[in-house]
Amino acid sequence: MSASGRLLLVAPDAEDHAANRAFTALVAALVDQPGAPDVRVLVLGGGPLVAELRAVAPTTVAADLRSRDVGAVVERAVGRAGLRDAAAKVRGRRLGLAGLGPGDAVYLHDVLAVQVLRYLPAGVPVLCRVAEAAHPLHQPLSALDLDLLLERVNRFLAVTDAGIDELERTRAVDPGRIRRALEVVVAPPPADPEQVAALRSRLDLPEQALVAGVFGAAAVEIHAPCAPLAVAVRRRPDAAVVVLLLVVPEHMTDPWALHDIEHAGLADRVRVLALEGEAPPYVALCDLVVHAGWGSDHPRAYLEAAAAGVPVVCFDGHELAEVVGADEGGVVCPRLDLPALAAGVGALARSPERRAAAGASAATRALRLHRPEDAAALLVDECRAVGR
Amino acid sequence: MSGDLPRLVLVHHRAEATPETVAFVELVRSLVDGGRVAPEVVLFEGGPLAAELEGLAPTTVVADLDTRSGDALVETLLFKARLRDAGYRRRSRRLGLDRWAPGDAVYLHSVLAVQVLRYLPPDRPLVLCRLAEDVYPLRHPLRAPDVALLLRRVDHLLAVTDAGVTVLLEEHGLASERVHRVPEVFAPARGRLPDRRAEIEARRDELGIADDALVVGSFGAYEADAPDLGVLLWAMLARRRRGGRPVEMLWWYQDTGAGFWMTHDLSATGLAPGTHPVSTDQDPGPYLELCDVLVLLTREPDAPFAYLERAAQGTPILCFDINEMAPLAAEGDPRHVAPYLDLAALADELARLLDAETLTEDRDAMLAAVARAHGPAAFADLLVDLVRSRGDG
Repeated sequence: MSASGRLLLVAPDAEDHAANRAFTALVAALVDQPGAPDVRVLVLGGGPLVAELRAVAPTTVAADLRSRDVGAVVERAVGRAGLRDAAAKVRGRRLGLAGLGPGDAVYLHDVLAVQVLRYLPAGVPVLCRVAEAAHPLHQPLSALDLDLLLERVNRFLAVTDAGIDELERTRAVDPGRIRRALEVVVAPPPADPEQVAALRSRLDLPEQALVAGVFGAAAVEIHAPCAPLAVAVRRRPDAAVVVLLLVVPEHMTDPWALHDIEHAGLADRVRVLALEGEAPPYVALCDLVVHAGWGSDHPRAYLEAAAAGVPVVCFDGHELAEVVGADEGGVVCPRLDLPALAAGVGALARSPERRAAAGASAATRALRLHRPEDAAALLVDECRAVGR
Repeated sequence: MSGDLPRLVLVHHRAEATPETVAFVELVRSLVDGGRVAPEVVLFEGGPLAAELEGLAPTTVVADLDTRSGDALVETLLFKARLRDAGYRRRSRRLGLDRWAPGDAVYLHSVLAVQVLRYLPPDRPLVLCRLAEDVYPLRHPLRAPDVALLLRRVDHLLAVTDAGVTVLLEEHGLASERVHRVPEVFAPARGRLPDRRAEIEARRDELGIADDALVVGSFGAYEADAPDLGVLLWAMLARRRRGGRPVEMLWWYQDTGAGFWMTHDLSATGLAPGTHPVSTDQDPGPYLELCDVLVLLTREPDAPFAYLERAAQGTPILCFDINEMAPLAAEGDPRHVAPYLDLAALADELARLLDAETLTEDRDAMLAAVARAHGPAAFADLLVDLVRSRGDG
């Protein structure tokens, strides 16, 4: 991207969830940067955050394109005639993409925005964020979409080492096309107490129970050892009131979790919840969160928990340990020492004062380490590097 | 029937010198000694243990059939003319499998003997088949037509693991009265197996295991097995031991997703030095013999045959309480069995064991325990009861 170039940021939608709130913050930070590029936004679907986006940058919503204007009619006619490339060009013009050129740049905030690559003129540099997930590129992408992404994107910005690993090893992407990116985290809105109470009741959590959230299968590890952790916690008298809340994303299955809970007699100590939507209000349920894995990921749910003031227990050597610091934002335990992890849970469980102080520190650290301004600066640097 | 006794033909694919065949030989001996059936043996191929079988009961080795007799030539011509059913009938006559009295039965010691079912009349005799341990016990090298034949023709399938029962009932939809959960049959080798000391030393050298190191082994990383638990246990063990003899881990696994994660996790967590993931489809025997202690971390109830062998030789076995090996492991020492997923308890016991003066259980006591739970006499009684309960006699 040249110094006078335009930067178009594309997101799949503007629904009100943490990833999109972070996107909005990123856009605002880009606009506020000294020497900022000409920032525009394209969201494919609408949502409540459109108004906030429009307040900071010109924003187009693809879903709001009129279906009966001349452009739409031409696009349909050309498409029906089987002239797909021509139809894509018409769509590109309608979305304001036709004027983009090699001096500009397009940033996809999510691989699900891949469709827009079909409407882009050739030669426009493209950067694409690869969000955290066990297999970041799998998502609901079709094989054609995946091929398009891998062919057309000039630089992948992976927020996890797992994403880098998948791109390099599984997808054979040249390492020169991959960078480690900074995930943006913003403070979540306050939780709705009624919603939290209803969820607590639905999960049949005893009144005195402290909830330790484990967002297990969101992370890279296929075998996040949540049940062994629960067994280790159960051994501790200072963790007698702790209930582990295992939140499992719906697209990931951990067939052994339920088996383990049953056969280890953990039904009273573990609740399993399928993740519908984003992490809150589940994060709002948690008195602390525990990351029991040892992969090289940076699970968003834990960052959001930290940003919401929930202390974190994790192994050292894991990226989350940065958020915890020297036991300020929670407890960092020796790597793979499960009893120590359980002891960390116990230490936070027995002291409300320590939990409160650690939670406050976790929030400060998470927001400082994942600032939108820093992510914006990195993005601009990458856009300029790709454009050279 | 021979006299008043039902005829029971026991079929095994080959009489090679393996623990499974040793168990088969002792099973035949138990049936002969029991005097309740008239055993005969059919082997598809001979082998070192064929002579011992011939000394116990009338034995036919299919591979040794005369290939130049008139019957053999007719059989060959029938198969060449693609008249397979006629060819099978001719083969059946040659093997003496065409004449059956009410109450007679055939027992397959392994699914690999499935071919014999083609030589039997469609409606008799009663057929029993042992389903040895494996995650997918029917998969083996069986082709689909063989699996179909097995499931159609066998009257009683004798699964030695819960996994086998599950496969039969849930994947293949068999009626529950055809499926039986039975203890595996095991017998001590008593010198019938080849001396593998040179091979064991070669494996040790190949893996680079230190001469003075104690070896902790874990075998069978099928999908049910738990590389995550293995990594955690290994990390906990390292924390508990300060000094003493060096300890190395041998993780034997098949080429499955679980195996991939094991090697990945060991490498990613810095635990790789001193650990030896071994991926092989070959005989795990020599690797098993390398191990001073065996740990069974599988998430499903399992009782791998190889662990029975080692238990009978006094190798300590550690496992979770849900595991089918638990009673046998506890015979060595009740502390060898930990509550499911209590890795700290397992690590404590493993550390204690590795630091103890002697690592071997009371061999005689363990042999007796294995014999009580898995002896051939009990299996023989089970076979006879199933044969005689048919009530055709």
